[in-house]
Amino acid sequence: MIPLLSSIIFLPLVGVLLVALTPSRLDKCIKYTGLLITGLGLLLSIYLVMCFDKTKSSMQFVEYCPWLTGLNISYHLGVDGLSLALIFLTALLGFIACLASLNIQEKVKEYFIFYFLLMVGMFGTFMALDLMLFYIFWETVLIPMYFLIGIWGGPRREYAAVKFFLYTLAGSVLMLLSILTVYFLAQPHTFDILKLSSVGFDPHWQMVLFLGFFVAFAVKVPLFPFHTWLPDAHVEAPTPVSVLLAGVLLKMGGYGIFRICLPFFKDAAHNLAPALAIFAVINIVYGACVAMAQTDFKKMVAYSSVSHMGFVILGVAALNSTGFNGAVLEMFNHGIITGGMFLMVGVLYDRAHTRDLSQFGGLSSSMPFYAFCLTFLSLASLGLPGLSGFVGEFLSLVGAFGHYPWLVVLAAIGLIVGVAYFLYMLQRVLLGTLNPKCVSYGDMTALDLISVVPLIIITFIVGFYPQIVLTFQQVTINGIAHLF
Amino acid sequence: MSIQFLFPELFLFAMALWVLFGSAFPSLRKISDFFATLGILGALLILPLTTNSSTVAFFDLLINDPISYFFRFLILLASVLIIFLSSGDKRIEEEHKGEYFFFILSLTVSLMLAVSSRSLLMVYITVEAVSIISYILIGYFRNDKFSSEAGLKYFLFGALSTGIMLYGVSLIYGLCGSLDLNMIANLAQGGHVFLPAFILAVVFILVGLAFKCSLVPFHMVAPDAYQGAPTAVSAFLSIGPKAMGFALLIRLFLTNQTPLIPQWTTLASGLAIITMIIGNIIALKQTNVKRMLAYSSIAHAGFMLMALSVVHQVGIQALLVYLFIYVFMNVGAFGCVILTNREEVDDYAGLSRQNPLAALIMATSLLSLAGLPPLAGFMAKFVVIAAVIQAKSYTLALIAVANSVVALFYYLRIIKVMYLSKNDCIKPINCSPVLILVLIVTVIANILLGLWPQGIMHIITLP
Repeated sequence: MIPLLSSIIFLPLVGVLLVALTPSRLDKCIKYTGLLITGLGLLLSIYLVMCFDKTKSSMQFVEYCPWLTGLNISYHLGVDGLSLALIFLTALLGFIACLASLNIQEKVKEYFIFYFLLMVGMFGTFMALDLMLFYIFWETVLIPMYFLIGIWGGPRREYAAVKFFLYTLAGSVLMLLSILTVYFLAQPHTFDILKLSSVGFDPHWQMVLFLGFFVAFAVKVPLFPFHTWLPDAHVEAPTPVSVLLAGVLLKMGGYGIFRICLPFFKDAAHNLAPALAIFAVINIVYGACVAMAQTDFKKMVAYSSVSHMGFVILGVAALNSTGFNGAVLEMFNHGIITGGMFLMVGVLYDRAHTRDLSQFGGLSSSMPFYAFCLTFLSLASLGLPGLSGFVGEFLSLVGAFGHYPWLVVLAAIGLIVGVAYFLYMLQRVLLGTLNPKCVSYGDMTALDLISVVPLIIITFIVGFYPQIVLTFQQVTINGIAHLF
Repeated sequence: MSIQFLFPELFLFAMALWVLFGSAFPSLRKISDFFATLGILGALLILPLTTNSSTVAFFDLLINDPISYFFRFLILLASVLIIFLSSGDKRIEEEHKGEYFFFILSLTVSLMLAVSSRSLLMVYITVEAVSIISYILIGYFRNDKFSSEAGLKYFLFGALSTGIMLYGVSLIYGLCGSLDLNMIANLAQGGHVFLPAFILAVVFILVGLAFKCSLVPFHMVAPDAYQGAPTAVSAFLSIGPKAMGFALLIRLFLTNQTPLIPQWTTLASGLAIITMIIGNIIALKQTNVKRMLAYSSIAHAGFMLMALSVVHQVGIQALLVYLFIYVFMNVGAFGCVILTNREEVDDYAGLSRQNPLAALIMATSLLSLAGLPPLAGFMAKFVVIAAVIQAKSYTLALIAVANSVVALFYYLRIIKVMYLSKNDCIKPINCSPVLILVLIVTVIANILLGLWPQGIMHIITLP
């Protein structure tokens, strides 16, 4: 029996080897290797989803083997309803971003090596059940991401890459301290996430440790006031990297909160939930308002991410199963929709070499496919009922309403601003008279369509029948919600 | 028989003399690095045989225990890597090659004796020997202004600090009537000494050792020395004397795992904190890579001292793991300076295009020094912080990890210049096959010790 989870994690490492052994002048060959490996990863993760038993709340496909015995660190992997959707998301966006990476022209070999290493880190983070293993995978993401932004990014890439690196590292060293403290507080000492979930720490410690972990996750989510790295990183990163950044990396933060903060420190979560709700609403409203003011297309989408991730935190703060389900679903949906949005930005940028929203106009007549996709994804992103973005946000709001009715009202105002900036963007890009500069832009190519259409289909299906995703996560999420 | 204990040192010293003798003959001089390597490898082979010899040797002057074994091994390992680095360095001119390797081998012998000393007399003699050889090696490029200046500075400061140390030793002898470390520890822990005077004496000795470990505020000449010295010597100085200093700190302050003076934890953590902070902050502003690495090694010394502030077996074990990994990280980084022939940060511009392998080695070493998983440097930091947290010194741990974020900034600067800069600096690479080979070995060690540190981890266990 082949260990399925390890194969998913380490398949990209095979890719690293294959690419490293290919001479760099065969860049076509390297790109196809990239597609092959990420495609295989996607197939494996689909197989994982098919084999997954929705009725069990325990970990599945568990792999365990002692690793550093002296330090009590083990190689422990598993999947449950919380991580399944995110693993699928990672594999899907990994493949789609790889399609978008076919446009990469320079240093193709290095690009794919870093890309694969990034995949390893992302998969590993979602599967690790040992705190140290989790931490190692979590940090593994940083180095490739730094290079992907720093080498293939836009004009201010150095600044953006360093800022991303330092912000995330500053958060994660606090996590390292918390991990060690948790280890020595727990009796018997262990790094095992499942065992630690049932320890029940001293309430005084819970507060400190919750914050220690939470800051690391909040930087990744990103939660106000730790969000300032995100717009810079997004604007400078190349399109495929933006897709992964928004689609997967931000989810690592939310995932960490669900996997570690909530089960480990229940009392602290109770006490801090109102504060979380306030920050979440700040995220939603502030992110939306700042997005409204942007003239850079990509920056606008980046701030819309900030706004949307606020709903995830709001769902967490609800501390009930409705809110939790909404938060996890929102993570999945946001990955799909915003991943798609960044692809759309990339399509336009490839043609115009600018992202300034005032440089476009009237594209709907010359680029009908593009107009359709962009409108569809924008509507999904602004939370139109019937499309997937709505469901997660709605559940989050409903979950939180019981505890914080006034905050939810404020968050709803944020939603309205969200509608406004998306429509304003659509107006500036698609409507009006055709901007003379844009006459020569061709419509989306087949490759562009192949990468975007699957995302649109998923958005549509999940929006129409959210149960298709919810069934996978419900049992696990309700289990976490029962703790409160 | 106690002589058996000294076989590795004796063999090494014989080889050193042979190298010196051979340097009189051109044909032998050319291969003096080969003899030097042979000497070290021979000593490494003989070393395991000494474990069976008596625990104390030479009238209780030397001690044969796991710590001494570990440090002797570590120093030999560092030394062989340094010899490879040196033989790749073209600046170590052919005519003086013989003497150079003689000094490297003698330094190794002195360091090995120092880490096994059990008496303050032995400590003083070996530390002085290490100092004198270091002055010569730092000032090795006689015609180079910087090198001579660095040698002189190191000499002046070194003489002062060993002088203070000697004064401390004499005070201790007056107070305890013995130079035997065990006896001193027993007297002090039993409360049979006049504590204020004893503390003063111990602090004097600490000054001498702190100079060797380059702890703040005795760090000032280290950057000058590292910058002026031949790069391979800088690498050795950042490892060898430091390892010796820490070995002696363990021997002096933590005999029987009880602190020699009650204030040890406060003293050590205070020194560790200022060392880390000052090392890291000054490193931020450096434009010379060797100087930056010097400040980085000061910061690392602070990290290591932090492990010793934990008065527990775990702290000592963590220090040993840290030092072991530190050898590979630092040799990798300094080796790249030799390989690329570049000392200024800006000279590294575009190295990833010009020589991807050199850039990769440098990047791995630097990221490992920064302590990022999955590289070995992370494991090193991890075990030390684990020890500190176990001792419940949460503030200390917090300061340490905050420092590692600051440190990342200056390590990233070099990486940024190598990979992200658009300019190119065309300077020839120093392509010595030995050098490249040894650097690849350090890279592999940096990765392997990060992923599978079992090999050295058997010396450390978390409870």
